[in-house]
Amino acid sequence: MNDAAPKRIAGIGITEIVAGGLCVLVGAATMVEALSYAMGTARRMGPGWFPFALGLLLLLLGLGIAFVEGVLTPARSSGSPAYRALIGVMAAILAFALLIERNGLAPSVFAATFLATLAEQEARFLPSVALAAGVTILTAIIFHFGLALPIPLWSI
Amino acid sequence: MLAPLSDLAAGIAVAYSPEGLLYCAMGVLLGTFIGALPGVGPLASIAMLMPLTFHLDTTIAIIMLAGIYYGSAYGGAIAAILLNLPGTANATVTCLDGYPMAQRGRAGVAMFTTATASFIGGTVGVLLMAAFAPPLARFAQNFGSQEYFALMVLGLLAASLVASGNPFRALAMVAFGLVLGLVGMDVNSGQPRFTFGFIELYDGLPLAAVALGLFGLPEIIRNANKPRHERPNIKAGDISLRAMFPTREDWRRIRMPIVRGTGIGAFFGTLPGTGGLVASFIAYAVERRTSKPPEGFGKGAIEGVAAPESSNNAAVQTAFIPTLTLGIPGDAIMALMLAVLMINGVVPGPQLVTQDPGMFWGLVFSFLLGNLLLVVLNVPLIGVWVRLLSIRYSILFPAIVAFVCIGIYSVNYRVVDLFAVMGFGVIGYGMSLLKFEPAPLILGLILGPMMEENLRRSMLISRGDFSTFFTRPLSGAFMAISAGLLVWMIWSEIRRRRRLRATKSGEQAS
Repeated sequence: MNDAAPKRIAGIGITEIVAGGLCVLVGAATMVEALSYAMGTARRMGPGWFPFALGLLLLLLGLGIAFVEGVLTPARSSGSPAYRALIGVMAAILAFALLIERNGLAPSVFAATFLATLAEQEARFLPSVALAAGVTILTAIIFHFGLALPIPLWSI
Repeated sequence: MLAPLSDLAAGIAVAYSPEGLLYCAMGVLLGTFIGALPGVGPLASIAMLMPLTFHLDTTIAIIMLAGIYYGSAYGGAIAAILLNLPGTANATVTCLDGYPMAQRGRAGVAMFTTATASFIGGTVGVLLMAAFAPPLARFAQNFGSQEYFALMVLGLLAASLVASGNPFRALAMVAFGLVLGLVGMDVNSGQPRFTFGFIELYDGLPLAAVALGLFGLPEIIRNANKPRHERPNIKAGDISLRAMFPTREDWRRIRMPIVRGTGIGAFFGTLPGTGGLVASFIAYAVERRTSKPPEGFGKGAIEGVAAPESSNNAAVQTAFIPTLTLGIPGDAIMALMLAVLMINGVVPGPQLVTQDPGMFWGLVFSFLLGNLLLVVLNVPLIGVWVRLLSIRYSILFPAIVAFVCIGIYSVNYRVVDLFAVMGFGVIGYGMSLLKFEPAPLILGLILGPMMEENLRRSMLISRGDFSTFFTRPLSGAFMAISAGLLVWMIWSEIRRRRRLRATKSGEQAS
């Protein structure tokens, strides 16, 4: 499937540049944030000590990823990111998050399920609605009537 | 002997009373069901069901919660095998070989193996609990903070071994996980760390949200993206009882992995701070280095299912030992058990076994039964599970998303947790694109605060002297093993690359 050699920039695989770079960034950010907490001494470690050490470790590992793994074992690309699927799933959770407290279980589950179906290329309106309805009923039975979770079924 | 006969009798009376039996069975079934549903883990389900147990007698309450716990350990494995979605964090390792087994049409065998391995591991765990609770507690009491720290280092390194191929990435995941584990209010100083103004984060990141975001969501996203014919699909064909039954060859192969796994699990479960998760990782790593299955690990080796599952259940059972005898919970779930005990006025500690032997033995006998029920109730249901989870993915995954939402929300009943799932879902998906393994991160997340605590205490005791980890015999041993693992890892990597380069130049030459 992916038989082409991994793409490289300056001899380092692209995936590793990004991966290593992110680790370096996160590590550095951790170190910076940790510095704003008290460091203390080795004997009495302050809240910043361990995070700082970890941030440093992460930074170094990021360099390792880029310069060791990136050179010796760069990863093959796994195809383009699944944007539609990602957005579909995120939209579903977002809808649930926005609806659950104000409108209760049923509308939230319905919206979430419906939006989740859109993650698929082959999604179509009626089947999605049907599935959303079915899941709503199912979860109502399990979680509201069955387990008696303190979430209102619906509210306006 | 073990205990006066009257205590044992009192225990049996409680465990096998109608109430005891009923709530044990309920717990096991509920636990399996909930554990199998990706999106609702044992933590969430125990939290959801805790209030139900408040009106129950304390022993019965613990019996039911325990049933839910190891039921969900098994249920998590079901989801891991059938959907490559670990229903629980502990089942993560089971995905590695369980799912490939399912893809080869051996789902039934995998689940039967899981049930058997879990039963053996769990039962042995209970027997150990009964026989060795006092001496084991005494051994663990010898552990100082240096030993715990060194042990955690070892555990994290071992976990990175399981993430095959990219040691730097795996270690980076561990480091990142440790940092995430420190999010929240530092107990020692009261300093909020990495909370960026969010009060909700003072208690740390919501574990269930992180786990689901990093494991569950990326899997769903990846699969929804595939064209229909490439979807995960269980061959629902072989679910007859005969097809489920492992062959004689299978039985032969899983004997030693179960023995090894149980031993590892029993050991690590006892230690506070390490539990089913670490135990299953280490069992898998040990198995990878020990047995040579024809398929190779990660491709459906039955040893890769048997070892971690027996380890997991053994650890889950022996985790009760420090909780009951020392009052130290090994993980969040044990902490909940502890809370239930304390709410009911029972003080866990060395005196629990002596002052309330009826409860202790009641639990022992109930656990024995629970493990049996796990197999008896669930093996016939394997067919149901397989059929249930072989529903078309297009129908399944939106439902899973809905369950995930409900599950996450029901832990704390706050919307912030849902945003956390989203955030970690995006991060998790990004990670998978960059070829990062999420499993070591979870381990780091859970161990982070405890590692720091032990580090701090060690430094305090040693007055800032780092060599204390190496000069203390037990701690030094752990550190030496860790160093050995590190060397081994690097050595294997070098050998692997030499081989790769050799084949590449061989191809170019020809």
